[in-house]
Amino acid sequence: MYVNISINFIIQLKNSEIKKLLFLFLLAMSFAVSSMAAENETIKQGNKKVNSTCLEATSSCGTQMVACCASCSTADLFAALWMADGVFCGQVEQP
Amino acid sequence: MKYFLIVIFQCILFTSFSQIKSENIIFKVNYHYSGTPDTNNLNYKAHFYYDLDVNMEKSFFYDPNRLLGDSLLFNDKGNQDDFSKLANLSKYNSTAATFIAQNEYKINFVKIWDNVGKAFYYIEKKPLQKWITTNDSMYINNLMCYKATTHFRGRDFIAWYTLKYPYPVGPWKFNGLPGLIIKIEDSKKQFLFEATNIVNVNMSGLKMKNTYPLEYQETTFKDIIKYKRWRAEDPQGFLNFILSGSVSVSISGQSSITKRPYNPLEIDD
Repeated sequence: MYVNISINFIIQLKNSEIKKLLFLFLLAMSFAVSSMAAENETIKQGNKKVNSTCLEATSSCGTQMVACCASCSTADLFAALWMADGVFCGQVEQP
Repeated sequence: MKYFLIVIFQCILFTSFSQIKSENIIFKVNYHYSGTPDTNNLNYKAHFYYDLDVNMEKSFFYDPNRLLGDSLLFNDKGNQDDFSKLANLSKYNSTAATFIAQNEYKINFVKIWDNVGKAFYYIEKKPLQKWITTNDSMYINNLMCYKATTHFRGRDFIAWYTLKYPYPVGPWKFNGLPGLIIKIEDSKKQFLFEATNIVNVNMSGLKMKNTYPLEYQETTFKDIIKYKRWRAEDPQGFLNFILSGSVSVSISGQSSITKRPYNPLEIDD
């Protein structure tokens, strides 16, 4: 809607140089807004990968770990993965 | 009245300045640890690297990479609502050593933070070691060092300390000698801490770290030793214990988690 209003406004202008500049500006703005929308979509897609009961992570020693629960938050799942990493990986050899 | 106010102002200024000065690190020691985690494979050594920060009041022993990772995790958890992005665990340096010790000279205990999967905090009463000092001496990295021996929790140790840094500090839980411990090794040559570098940082204004950046639970040394043995002998069982049953964690492609060799530096409690 804002784009249509802007185009109508620009068409009504008499100075052709200013018209050109404003069209270019509008084009650049539309491009920037569409890029941001695409980025948000990617983040949403990233969220979709995590379902409500399981969270997967690569441990610091390279193994794939999966934390699951019947009823808990992703924060709980992350905390569990963090603990598992501490139990299974290299720091067990420290004094 | 005017002079009285000037005196008061100068007192406040002096007190503030002294406070800032006392928090500054005087020198920093880099230690290399080499240990033998498996007595069936004496050729295999585990290596860890620590810093010891020292000032007029206390020392702080830690792995700088681990502390950096923990601080990063603390910030990321605060700013991040998508936990799938946090799940790249290697960026938090979680294989770095978790052991942290703070030794305040005037207090009769040492504060310890350790992470055995879950972060714990406990105190150790001083003196931790009863030292026998000798006149034996030798140069280590151009520093005149003196020999001292101790029996600590089931093992005999030989320490070399220098009077050039006259603070009762050293690596890990070792402290209480008249000077900085440069090298300490057990009689079986399975565990060794040695200073690789000492940096005087007095003028740089670096402040002493004071605590562990993440949440921790209070415990005792006896329980920590129990947990470490349990973690080595039955990792899955120990993990289930610290998870308290609400979440289960499995490793892809492995039906059971194999136990790890257990050769602790502290044998007795």
